[in-house]
Amino acid sequence: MRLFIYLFVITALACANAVSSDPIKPLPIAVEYDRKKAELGRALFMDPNLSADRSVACVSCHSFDHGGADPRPVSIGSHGNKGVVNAPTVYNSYFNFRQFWNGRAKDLKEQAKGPLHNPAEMGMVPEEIERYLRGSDFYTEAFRKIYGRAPTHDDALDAIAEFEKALITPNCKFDRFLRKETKLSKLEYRGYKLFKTLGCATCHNGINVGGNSFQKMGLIFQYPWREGLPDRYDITNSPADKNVYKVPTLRNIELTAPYFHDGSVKTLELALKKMAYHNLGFDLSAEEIEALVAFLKTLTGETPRIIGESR
Amino acid sequence: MRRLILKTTAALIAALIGIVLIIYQQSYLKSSFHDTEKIGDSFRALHTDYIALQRIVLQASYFPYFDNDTILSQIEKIRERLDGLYKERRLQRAVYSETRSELQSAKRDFEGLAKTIYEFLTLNASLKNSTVYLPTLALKAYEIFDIHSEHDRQVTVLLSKINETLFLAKNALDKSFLEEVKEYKKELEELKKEVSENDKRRLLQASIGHLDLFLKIFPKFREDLEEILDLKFQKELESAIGLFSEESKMEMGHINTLSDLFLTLYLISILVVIYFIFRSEKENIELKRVRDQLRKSLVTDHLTGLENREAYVVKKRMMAHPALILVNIDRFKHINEFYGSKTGDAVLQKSAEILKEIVPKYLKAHIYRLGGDDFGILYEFKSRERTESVIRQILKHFQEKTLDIEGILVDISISIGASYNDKLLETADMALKIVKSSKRLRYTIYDPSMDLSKTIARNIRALKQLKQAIAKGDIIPYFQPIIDLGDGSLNKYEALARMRTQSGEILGPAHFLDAAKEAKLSGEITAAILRRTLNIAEKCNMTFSVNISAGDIMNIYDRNTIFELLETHRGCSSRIVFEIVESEDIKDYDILGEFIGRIREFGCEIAIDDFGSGYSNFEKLLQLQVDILKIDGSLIKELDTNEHAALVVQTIVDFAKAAGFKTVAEYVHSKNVLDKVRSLEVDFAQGFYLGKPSPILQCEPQRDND
Repeated sequence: MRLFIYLFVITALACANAVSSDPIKPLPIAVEYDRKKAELGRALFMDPNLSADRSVACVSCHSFDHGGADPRPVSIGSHGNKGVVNAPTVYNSYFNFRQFWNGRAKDLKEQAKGPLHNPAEMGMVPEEIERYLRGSDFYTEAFRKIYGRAPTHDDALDAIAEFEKALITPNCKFDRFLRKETKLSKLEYRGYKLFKTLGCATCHNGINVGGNSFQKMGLIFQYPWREGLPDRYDITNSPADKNVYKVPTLRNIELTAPYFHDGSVKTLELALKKMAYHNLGFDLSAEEIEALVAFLKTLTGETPRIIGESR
Repeated sequence: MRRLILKTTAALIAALIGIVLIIYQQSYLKSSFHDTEKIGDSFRALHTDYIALQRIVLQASYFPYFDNDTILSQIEKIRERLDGLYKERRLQRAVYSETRSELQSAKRDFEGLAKTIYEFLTLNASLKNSTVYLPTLALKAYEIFDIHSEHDRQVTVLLSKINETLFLAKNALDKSFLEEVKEYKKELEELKKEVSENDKRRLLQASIGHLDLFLKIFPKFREDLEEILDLKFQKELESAIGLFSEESKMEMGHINTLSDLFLTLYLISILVVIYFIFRSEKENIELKRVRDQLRKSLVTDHLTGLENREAYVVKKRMMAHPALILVNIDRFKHINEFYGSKTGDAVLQKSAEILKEIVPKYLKAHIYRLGGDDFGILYEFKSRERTESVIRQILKHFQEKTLDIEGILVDISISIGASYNDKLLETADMALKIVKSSKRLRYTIYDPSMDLSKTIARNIRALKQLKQAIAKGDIIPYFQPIIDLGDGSLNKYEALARMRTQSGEILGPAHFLDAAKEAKLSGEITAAILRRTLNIAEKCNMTFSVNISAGDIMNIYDRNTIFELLETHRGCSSRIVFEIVESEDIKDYDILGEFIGRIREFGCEIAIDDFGSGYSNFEKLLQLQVDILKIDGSLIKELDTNEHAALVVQTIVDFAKAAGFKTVAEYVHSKNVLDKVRSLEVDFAQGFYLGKPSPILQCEPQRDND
């Protein structure tokens, strides 16, 4: 009984509160970050010497030409090693509640360790990284200036994380719509409404249009599952967590093909169809897909300034 | 002194400790209150944040779509608050152990809760997915299914019922609807069997899938939501708050105990300081009393109760123009000797009393006993007239005063000397001395012309030197030759007294003769010269004249010394001539006659020295039967220039010839004088022209070759 009254009161309050609020929030125009650290981080981010065979850098799989993501279905690391999942975009990743597909890293700094040390990716150990950095006059000088000591593994991660923090894509059309600076086209607006009514927004919400909860791929019709994929089950071993992933961001989605954790889908249309089938149990009409795609394209923001400057 | 420093240091340290303790306590209390308030605020904020989180979760469950970021950021906020509280410096103290352990379990529980919320978010999305999409499917069913067909109508009706039930179930969080949903699902599955069209089958399959999902998820969803909305964590927080307030009260109790202790210590330190102050003040008072007593006894004359000379010195220094009246009791020594010192003391006491009584009050004078029978009256000088009138008053009182001392009547009189000059006491004393030596004066006020002090000082110095010289045998004779003018031979010398000082200087009699006479030492000088001359005369066959004063002859002791000396030098005593200065000092011619009679027995001759300088009693001279007249040098040295002097000398020579005396001319300082002396037929001559006094002398008689 008490629960009901509680519910009722809270609901009444919440309604008044939430009427005008959209489930999506615009990105800030800029974030505060340490400029010098970020610039050092950028150099590290682009440096293939941080991989075992000096063939890949962070940027190899988080391409600035592909919305901070990897255009290949799965990433290819040093010595040509293939990964198991598609690299998620590094853009706006600062706003994700956890990092990686299954959220095993709590922040960017922790995340940066993953690919650096993963034998299938860059395959380095901290000592190797430090040895390399200390052997370089540029890094020795830069680290001394910023951190007041010789380069360390931890400081390198810190610099990379600071750079990634700066990788935001503000002022997408939809953000400007949210800020009432512009209007959406009819099609786009219809897409937004469908996005909400079809239930997309229940998972894809917040500042990153996703990235703030774990959800199951294949609620209605099961999505193929195999052992070894980095889903929640990989961490919890609870059967209910099979195919449960961190909801990916939909920002810059038109740039970050291929889609899904396995990079199995090349186009937005197909991705929408697949999501509708597996999680709604129904097919979207062509008009619905058209509208949703139009809406999704309004989520493409500006290239992060720190990249623009470097070019 | 060391004790004092020790005590002061102890008191200071005690006070310092007290102050430090109180400051410490104050700052401790302040920071305690501040911390307690801060922690209390944090707890309250935590509570509020938690309730807000519950509210947001409810919103998320209620609204079809919701920004999950708000939930996540709220969780983060609470997590940080809990961490901050747990790490709060104050809570690290042992006294807050229970609060801390409660906080720790709250942290643990909150992490569990956060996990539940993450799960809730997953379930909530799925559930909403279905509850949003099932009505969409129902709507689509109207398009696909033919409502005129009984079967298809049943499908659409069933889908509507399902939607209604799901809505109720979800919004009321009521599990009891699940059975109905299950029934509907079965019905739907039954109906599906009769459907052959592909699109209809797909729709029904999707609907069944959603229902399945709902049935599977809803109980867990409900459970999670209930857990999230449960008051367990809230109660845990409340319990932590309660524990904190209890434990902080406990700590306050400790602080208060500590503060009581500090206050006690502080009070003790104050008491210690007060004790020391009291002690030292008491000692001070006692010391002051003793000091005053000592000073009084130091500056008081015990006999008369008057202040003494010390007091006089101190007081005088403080005065601008001091004047002193010095009162001396005449012949006090005599009173003391006559009546005894007891009576003498009583005389002094009475005199002091009288003085105290009669010195006018307006003078604001201080009365002192300055010496044995000297009283001093010290006051600020106004005028000579006033001083004189006061002196007269005092004299009037003491005039012909007879004191009754225990029946003995003592007559006293006083003399007064006064001064308002510098060197007050000395000058007043000088004035008093003048009064004393005068028969007529009763008082006098010092006048600089009376100043004998320089002479006195010189005399004292000369006297000291003289006494020393006598004692050390430094009174020695210098010999001046006396030439016989008849044949120019030298067989006489005058022995002149000289004093050899410590530095070896030889001084003439002018330097010491006055002092010698004053101190009655001239007899000793005479004796010393005689002794040395006699010793020389023993070896040297010459005649020596030696000066002797009338005073020496009058003194029986000196007289006898001379006789003894002559006696011991019998062999040469006949070659001694005694030169006597004819003067007023010859009071008793009988003694002189007797003396001359005695020395004649030794063969000595008598010369009258400085003859013609004063008034000479020719008759007495004749009676005394002197042998030689030494004509006064002041006449001789002017012989060549002063006719009058020549006349006097001529007269003396004539008189001497008539009387049978030989004559000697002194102070012959030039050839002219010598020629004149010769022409006047003086028998002998001496002087610088003829020979200066010298310690060395010629012993063989010599004749003058001219």
